[in-house]
Amino acid sequence: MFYVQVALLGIIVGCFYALSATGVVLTYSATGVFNIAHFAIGLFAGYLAWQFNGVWGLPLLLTVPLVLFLCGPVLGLVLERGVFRPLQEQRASSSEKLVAALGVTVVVLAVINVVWGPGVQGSVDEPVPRLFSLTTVEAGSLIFDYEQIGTLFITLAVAGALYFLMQRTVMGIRIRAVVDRRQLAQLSAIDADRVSQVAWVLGCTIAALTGMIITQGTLEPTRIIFLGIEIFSVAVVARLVSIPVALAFGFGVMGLARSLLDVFEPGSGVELPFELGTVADWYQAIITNFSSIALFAALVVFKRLDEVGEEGGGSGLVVGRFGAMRTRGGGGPVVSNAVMAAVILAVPFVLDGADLRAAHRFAALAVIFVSIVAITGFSGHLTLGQASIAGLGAFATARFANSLDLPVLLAMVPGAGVAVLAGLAAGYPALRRRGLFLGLTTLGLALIIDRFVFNEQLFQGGPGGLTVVRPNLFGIDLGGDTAFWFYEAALLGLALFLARNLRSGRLGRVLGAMRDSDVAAESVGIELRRAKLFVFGVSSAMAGIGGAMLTQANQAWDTTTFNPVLGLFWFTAVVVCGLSTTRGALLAAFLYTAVPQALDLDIQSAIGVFGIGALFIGRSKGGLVVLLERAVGALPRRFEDEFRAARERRRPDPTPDPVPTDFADRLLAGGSVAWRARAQGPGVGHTRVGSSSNGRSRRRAGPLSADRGER
Amino acid sequence: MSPVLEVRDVTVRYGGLVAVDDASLTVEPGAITSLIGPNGAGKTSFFNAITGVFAPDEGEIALDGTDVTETTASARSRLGMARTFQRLEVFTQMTVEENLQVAAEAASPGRTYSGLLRITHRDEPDIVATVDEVIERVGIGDVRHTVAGSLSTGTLRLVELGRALCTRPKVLLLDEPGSGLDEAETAAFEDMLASIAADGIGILLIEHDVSLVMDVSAQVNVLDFGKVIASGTPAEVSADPAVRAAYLGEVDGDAGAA
Repeated sequence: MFYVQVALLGIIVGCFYALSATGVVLTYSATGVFNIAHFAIGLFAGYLAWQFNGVWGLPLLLTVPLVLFLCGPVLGLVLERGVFRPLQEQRASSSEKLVAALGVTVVVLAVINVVWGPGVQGSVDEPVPRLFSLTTVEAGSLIFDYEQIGTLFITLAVAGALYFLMQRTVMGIRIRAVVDRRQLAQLSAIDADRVSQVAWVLGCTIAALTGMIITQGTLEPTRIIFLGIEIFSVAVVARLVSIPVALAFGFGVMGLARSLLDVFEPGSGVELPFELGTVADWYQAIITNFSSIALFAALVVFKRLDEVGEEGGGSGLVVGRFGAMRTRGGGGPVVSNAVMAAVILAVPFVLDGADLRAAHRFAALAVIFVSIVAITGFSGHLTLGQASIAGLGAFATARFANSLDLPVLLAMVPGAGVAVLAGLAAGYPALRRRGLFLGLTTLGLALIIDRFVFNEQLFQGGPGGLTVVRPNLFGIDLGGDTAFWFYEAALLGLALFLARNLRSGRLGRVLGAMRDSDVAAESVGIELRRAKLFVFGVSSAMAGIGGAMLTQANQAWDTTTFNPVLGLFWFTAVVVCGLSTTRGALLAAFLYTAVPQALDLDIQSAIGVFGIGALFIGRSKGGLVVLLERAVGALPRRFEDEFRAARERRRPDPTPDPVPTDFADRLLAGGSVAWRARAQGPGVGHTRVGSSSNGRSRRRAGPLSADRGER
Repeated sequence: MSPVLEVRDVTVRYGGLVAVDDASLTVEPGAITSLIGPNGAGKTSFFNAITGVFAPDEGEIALDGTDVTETTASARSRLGMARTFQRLEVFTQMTVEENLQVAAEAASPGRTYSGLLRITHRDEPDIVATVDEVIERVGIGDVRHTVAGSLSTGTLRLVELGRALCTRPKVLLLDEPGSGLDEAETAAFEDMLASIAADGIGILLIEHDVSLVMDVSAQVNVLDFGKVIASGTPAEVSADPAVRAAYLGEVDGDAGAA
């Protein structure tokens, strides 16, 4: 009985996981959008409920329906209509939809931050409402409280209602049809948009409901965000499409089983070598972070997710819309390089104090953002975990420098090496996946790094953050603000040099080929495994160095600098500014540091600007940097482009039916290919008629249509 | 002359379903060999096993005398097997020239990954020569600097063919190159194939379009329910009663409609 009682402690959390994951699964399967914003919408609902009930004193009976209505039907329809239907109409890939959902997340979190601030809410005067009282009842030897009973009841009711909807109603049949084959369902006169609307409304309503349940009397945004990210693991275990599995795994395993396993303490006396704590410490760590392990394990084990609406396996991400890549190296435009050098030189003389320190952060972030461009923009692999890889590099650098007394610059080498190992761990799964699946895998890896390395004491050699010292080069102190800037500028230059090489010459063409088509790249003899691991390795090393620079700029390493949510922010910022070029990364890093600095906002609020950009990802081809460059219209590279394009455009093309005629003409122009006419006999579709010279003259004499007329 | 591609007793199973059942074929250098069969006959599964998309459950594949049954698609490519795709797979964001160049480079020895630390990136003269020659040959000179993603299906079939040729193949496998082409384009394609074969490259053509196959092939293999039910010259195959029953029967009355 004791164990049953212990297991029951997990009811509320279990219901939360089960319900939330159901919402994610429902939205995904009916719309193809992995709603990463689910937890943000839930958190928003929690704040609304607190505002209405706790602050304004509305009765709970009014608050709950109001919040459900605002976050469910209203927000759901707004999202469907304003953001996701346009994407669906453009046949956006799941990666693009993921970025738009990231945009929603970022915007909602920014709104929460602007309106209510980042702190914990709920006081005696302004309590966060609980849906049920904590009064306990006894049933035999078991003790429940009303909150547990009520939550369980809600979960069962929602599950029952969904079952009824899916199995017994026409809408349910339609949803299942759309889940199965969207195009086919549309052909049989099912209005897929209507189905999407219903799914969005239901998904958002469920999110709002779980948001009000999980607050449990205090609004702690950080706790709720982390719980919210954990629901992704439940959704993934359910292969993103199975509601029963989501319910069972969320409630049974993540709720009940985990709270039961939590009471054991096996091997508490057994010390591990290398001061890695006791076996019990590890056991606790594993149970506490069970979801991130489940997520990563499921993602590695599954050969594929049931990806809805994903046609073909191409990279599909926004990079698909950018112009031609430039693989022919060359010196690059002299003018913009000179401008850049002048800016770099001027920075320490123009900026001082807080602004110069912001510039320090800019340079460090720019290196990390370039690493994101390298991996996602150049090679087509979605990565949401770059913040954790950067953090790992920074962490390892600080540990090597502090514990082994290595000089900082030297410590950055093994530090980057550790980041590379993490990058290879992310790159290995990428051998057979990309897009949403890879994005989730890298996010899963990020969670594991965050939980096991950043937030466990086991690797830290003591509690709290780490102090980080700035480097020293052959006795020259690079710690002063000006000297540190030039040191950073040098490393940023190195990162840009490497990035340039990643898209130049043989290497650039190999990565570009891989980005455009895995199968075709293999078919011409490119070894995908090698190329993928290589680009993941290089990008991770870059990220690790960038992370180390960031901690050196802050002169401290702490867990909040690199948390997984920031990783999502960073990725969003880079995508919005432009994934296809390093200029996009530089712009992203600049805005990311300059906007909060200029507007005197914290980044959680300022990031909303990027979020809004991400909502319209389908429309902003090439990202902000392309729009900007077009507006300025004076960047030398751009000129050169336009010039070449204009020259090509000037060539006249008088043929009215360009495809076939063009083709035939080209063959003639090819010279070495003999042309012969092809007469179509009535009985034999393949009779050869006519010599090549004969055919050639005929081809030249008349356009294709005349030839067709002869038949 | 020994065959450049020899496929022996290949079986491919999906769970309980036997998609390819003990099928064999050979491709001679300098000749066009075809594989035809109705929808669902197992053509694509057979093709995928030959090109190394997956390994067959049973059987052997020898490329110019080397057993390649267990090797990856990219290794087969480097050993001289090139292919095109039924559903076009070009490098859409690269120019036509770059599409060919990357293939030529992958086939020639040279350092790829050390490019990360190189200051300058020059095109290698022999690669450029190969690319120039192939561009000339398949006649895509005027779209040379165009981004591939913006071209029409017909042109892209030529780009894929050119890309395959740039790997200097011994055997060329074409997966339904006729699909998406109109009459004139198909005719031109046939000529191109004949001229490629004349250079001594063995061609394996997988086609749906019987007329195209009968036109150009020296050898035709007919696949039905995963089994090779007939092989021989076009004349022999089209006279074969089993083939007529399985596949060509419908052509009897009005082949012109196809």
